Amino acid sequence: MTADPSTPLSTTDGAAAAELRHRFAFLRDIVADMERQVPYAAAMVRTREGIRLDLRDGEQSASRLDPQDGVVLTASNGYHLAEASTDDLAPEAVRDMASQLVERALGSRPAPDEQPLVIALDGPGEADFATAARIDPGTLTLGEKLDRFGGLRRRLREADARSVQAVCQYGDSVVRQVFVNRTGLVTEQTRRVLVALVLFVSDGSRQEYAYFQRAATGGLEHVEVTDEQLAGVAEVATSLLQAESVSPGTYDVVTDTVTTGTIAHEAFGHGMETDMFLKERARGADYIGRRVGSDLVNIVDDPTAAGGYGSYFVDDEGQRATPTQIIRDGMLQRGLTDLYSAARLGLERTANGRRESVQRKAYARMSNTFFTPGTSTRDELLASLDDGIYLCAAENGMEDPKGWGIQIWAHYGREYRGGKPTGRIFSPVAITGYVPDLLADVSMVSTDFALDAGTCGKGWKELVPVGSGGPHLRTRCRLG
Amino acid sequence: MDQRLTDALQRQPGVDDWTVRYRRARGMQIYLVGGVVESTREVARDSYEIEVFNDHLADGEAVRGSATIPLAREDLDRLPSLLDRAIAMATLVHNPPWDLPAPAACPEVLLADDGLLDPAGMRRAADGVAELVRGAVDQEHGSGVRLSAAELFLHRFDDELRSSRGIDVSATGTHALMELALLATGDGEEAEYFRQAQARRLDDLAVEATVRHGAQMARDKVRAVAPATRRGPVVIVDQALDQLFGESVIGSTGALLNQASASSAYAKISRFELGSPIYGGIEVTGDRLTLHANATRPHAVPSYRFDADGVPAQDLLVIADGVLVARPATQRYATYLGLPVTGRPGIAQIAPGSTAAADLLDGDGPLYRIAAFSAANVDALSGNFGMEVRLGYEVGPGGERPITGGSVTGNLFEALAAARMARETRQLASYAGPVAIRFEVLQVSGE
Repeated sequence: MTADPSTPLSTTDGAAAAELRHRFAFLRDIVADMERQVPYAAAMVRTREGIRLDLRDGEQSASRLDPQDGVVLTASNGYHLAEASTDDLAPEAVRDMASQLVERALGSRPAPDEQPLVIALDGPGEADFATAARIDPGTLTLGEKLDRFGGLRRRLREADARSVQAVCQYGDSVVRQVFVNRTGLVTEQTRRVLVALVLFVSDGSRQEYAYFQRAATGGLEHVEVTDEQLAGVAEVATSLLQAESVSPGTYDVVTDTVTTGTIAHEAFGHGMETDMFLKERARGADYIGRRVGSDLVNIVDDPTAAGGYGSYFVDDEGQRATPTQIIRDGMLQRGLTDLYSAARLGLERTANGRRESVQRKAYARMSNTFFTPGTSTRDELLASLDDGIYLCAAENGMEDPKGWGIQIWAHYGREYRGGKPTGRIFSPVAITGYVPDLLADVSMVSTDFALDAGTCGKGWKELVPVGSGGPHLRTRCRLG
Repeated sequence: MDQRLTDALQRQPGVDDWTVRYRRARGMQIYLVGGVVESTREVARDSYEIEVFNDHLADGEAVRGSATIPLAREDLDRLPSLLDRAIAMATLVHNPPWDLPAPAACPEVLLADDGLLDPAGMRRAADGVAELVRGAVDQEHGSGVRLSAAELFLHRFDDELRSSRGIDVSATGTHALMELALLATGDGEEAEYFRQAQARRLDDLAVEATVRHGAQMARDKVRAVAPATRRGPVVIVDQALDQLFGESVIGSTGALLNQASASSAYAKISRFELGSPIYGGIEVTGDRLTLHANATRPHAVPSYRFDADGVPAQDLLVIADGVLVARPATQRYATYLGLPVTGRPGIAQIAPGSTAAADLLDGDGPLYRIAAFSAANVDALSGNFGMEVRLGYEVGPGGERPITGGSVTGNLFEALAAARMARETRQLASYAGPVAIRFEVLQVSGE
């Protein structure tokens, strides 16, 4: 995926873009009419098409994704933002809503000492974007998808005699979006695909599971799964039948690419969302230009990352996507902005204003957040572990931008002694610690790189698709 | 409900059964940053979801296929092609047959706040809460606490469900969500209190009390230290109860109800067996657990009149004295396993014990009382959990001191064998039960 506007759209995507432009051209007039009364107005339309399959022993399901069709209008009265949204996309309904919104915005008075909100626009101008897909999911029938992913599930189910259940979930979607402000109208078509596999195994007294996921913006070429990968899932699941609890303590660790990505996301992803700066909830605001990790630490947020699950072309507030360097050589560089916090803090915009749906507000959000690769090989990192743990398959984490604490839950960890695996495996492993300590202890970074996919919340809501990842890291942290 | 939809379903060839779900949602949102309004929002959405069923043969076996199709407003103008597509999907899906439920009387369950039913009332309520938050935080200024941010979401939902078996039911509910972030300063340090509270009634958010409690927690966090590493007693209170018993990463019903459910049993991933203790073979030394899945509890967030199939809400006794006595079973999995249909589980409701909450803190050595974890993280398959301590207290002969950081780990099902419940109760978003539960042995990993 690239946000290069010179990339020509396919014939199909070009036709869809033209249709979107034609159908929602009326939003230009609505925005212009609103701006005759308020200093800033914008409109965004989102529609979605897609399916989800859930296949397991004894049952199958096929669903259409919730289209979530709707429009959101934004108006500023010069001090704060007011928004209205509806699923009624008829021009007259949107016009009525715009009138009521302007009336509401103008009827709301600022607090006595409130500073004006000055919104400086940087585009998006006029453009049409679409995710390239080598194998468009739309070219396969539902029957072909059921055959393909049902077969994949069966191969996983048969990978080990101790398996008791295997689940395959598949989803594809096209999100079509139109954004309009006074600089122009942009259309965007973002395709996402996802395959998630879970294998449950039992030895009669204990049950464990392992999972594998492939997800990306793009086509089915991103969700190919090999027999070797299926065997890897079975090996992890069956190994976990002998898993022990890790003794609490501080360990030298190597993190796999998934766990590395979760560290990037939780440590200096959420904490660099500038709405958190505005709310004084992020300690990082006071550390811009200061050291927060070793020289080897480089973290980037990049909505243009090829295939990244969190990739897009224009954010939900009209800012064209570009990468943002969050940490360079251990020094904190800058935050990720939404429109409101950038205006309030006087920051240059980054393309990180994102909404769960038109029903929800835009916040400063991550896209694809990752450590950049280093110079050592993965094997060199593992060989360096005299007495440590290789942490794998982080499942989730929780940010604490104010306290810089971190909580990450890894599905398992393998013990290494003298640079070699001992065969002992621990599950689950809770990783906790103080973020600057964890990043200061990063002593080796591998050359390999992978992006994982996930869903990110703001607190416990406002879910958006994101990517996270990077290379392997060698560091030190507290496990329990 | 749009009559075109049910008419089209009745005419559509290949539809052997159908269910239509309609939701009309109207909402208001207000966002404060440091007491100043960042934005206000009004939202409206009318959404339909149809589920069509097709009975056919696959490999000589009678099977039932289904497809779930959420609709956008404009889809109502192109129903024939959408229904053709839905049936095509259903014919490709092969499941063991099950029947939709027959009509049955649905209980009157209290789901709404009368003050949030009309738009004007909702607007007044939103402004009122904003004022309450500002006023309550002002009261705390003297102790170094200020408002970072607050969000309030108010919604009214009108739900209708019809099915080919003659079900025609409706319900009206309201929902209020408040997110609150407070900052406390002291001795050059700053700490945050963050809480997301949900309720069906605005009063249940207890805005002023939540601000006061949050301000105290923020002040305590300023002087909190890391816990020591030890295995021993841990008392879970407040928001941490919701995180341990209610929410979970895999299933929204929490690990206990997930493992008890008929769907887990059908998938062969339930470690519980009907008629057997749920403690994983561990000898019980504490209060034996009694758990209801209560979908009729008044004004509980997970409560409902009818579930997605139209099954009436129930208050179901799931675990009695530590033994699994019933599996929460939706229509489909009840049919598959030959169990009574109970519908989707409601709130996890744990029976109280006989010990006063204050007495749960007694003992010879120090213990930890955990008020909030950083996030819920209980594995619904195994019951394993590991959660960072956002705020807790070390309780000993010399009094209490706040702790933060480190983690509490264990296995929920096994740990419950040595748990004692307080006799006082409370209701949170996804948990109702004792105000405190003491686990005799959990691992705390800290300094």
